[in-house]
Amino acid sequence: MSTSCATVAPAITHPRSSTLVRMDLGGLSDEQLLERVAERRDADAFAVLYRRYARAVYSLVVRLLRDSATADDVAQEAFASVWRAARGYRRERGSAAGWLFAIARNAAVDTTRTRVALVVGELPEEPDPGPLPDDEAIAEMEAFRVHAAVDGLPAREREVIELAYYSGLSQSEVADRLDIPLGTVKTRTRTALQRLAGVLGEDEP
Amino acid sequence: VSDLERIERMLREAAAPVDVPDALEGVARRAAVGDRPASARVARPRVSRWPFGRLLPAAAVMAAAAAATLLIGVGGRTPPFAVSSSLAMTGADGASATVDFGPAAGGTRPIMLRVRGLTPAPAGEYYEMWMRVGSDAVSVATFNTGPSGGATVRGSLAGGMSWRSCWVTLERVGGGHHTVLRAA
Repeated sequence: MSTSCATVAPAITHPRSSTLVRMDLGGLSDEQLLERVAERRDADAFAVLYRRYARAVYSLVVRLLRDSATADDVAQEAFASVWRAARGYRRERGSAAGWLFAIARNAAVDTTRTRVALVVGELPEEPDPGPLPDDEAIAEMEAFRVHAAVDGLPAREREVIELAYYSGLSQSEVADRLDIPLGTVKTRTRTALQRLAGVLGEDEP
Repeated sequence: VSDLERIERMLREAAAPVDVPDALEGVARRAAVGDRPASARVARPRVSRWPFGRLLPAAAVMAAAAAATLLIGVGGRTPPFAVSSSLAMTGADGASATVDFGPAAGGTRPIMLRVRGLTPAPAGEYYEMWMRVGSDAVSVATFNTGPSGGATVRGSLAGGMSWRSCWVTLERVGGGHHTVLRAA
């Protein structure tokens, strides 16, 4: 993803978070934030990155580990690794989103590998009919990008997208739930989809 | 239109994200910004001290924790040992700890954990000290702190055990934990 989540919705702050950050940082791209973390050890820049990627990172880790208790620790350590390893990020090698995805995935996979080693005597005799590892990794990256992009939407647009696509409500049901006209739901949905298309439009190198 | 359809397909295939626990932001921020250039590895596999792990009823787990603490003794009630090495751990809000290691003898190595500034664990929760041995996390001791936030716990490690990192978690009976102290 060569365009960052911040490119389209630069001024958004995540309503789920209570931490105050300097407003001017909200306009920076993910790459700029990561560079501030690396060069200035800027805790506020780190907080903005956290807000943008917390749900994407946490969802990825839970998906890989299927264990929310362990996921708490792994997600925590993934963000600690972002802080520690930020100096190793090179913009020319890829997007910040891809770098964050790799850190979170490696954190979870490391844990999974250890678990597999502990139950090595219980390996199945039949091959796993599930998706190939490469397919899984692509799907994980895609979901990671989508979750981060949705979290970057303005709050009003994000709520209609979440109700429609994550909760499975029809547009009429979304209108009822939010107590807003159906036309407003349609407008917000279309605007949000266009905004997401701008963020997700380019393939990750 | 096709572009928007593609986005809709991506949204459906991504499925709903998992909501992040409210406490994670503060914990992650402290772990990151308050972290020293730690040797801490990202992975945190866990090895249960008890054969039936978290399936035990809460009362039995707490009883086992109390028994373990009694077995390893409490500082001040057993003679001191010659300290051959030490390490420090730090956490949020000024919490800290030191771990003294004695010389290995008779297949064991004595250790003493001294904790300061750690709020007493609430009901149903307790502190646990871990060490990473190879790729495994090994539980070393369970404890709680007193009203002053302090605790002194003595225990022992296997004499030939080499370890890479050390940390303390706040454990919840029945599952759930987060790191409260880690090696500097």
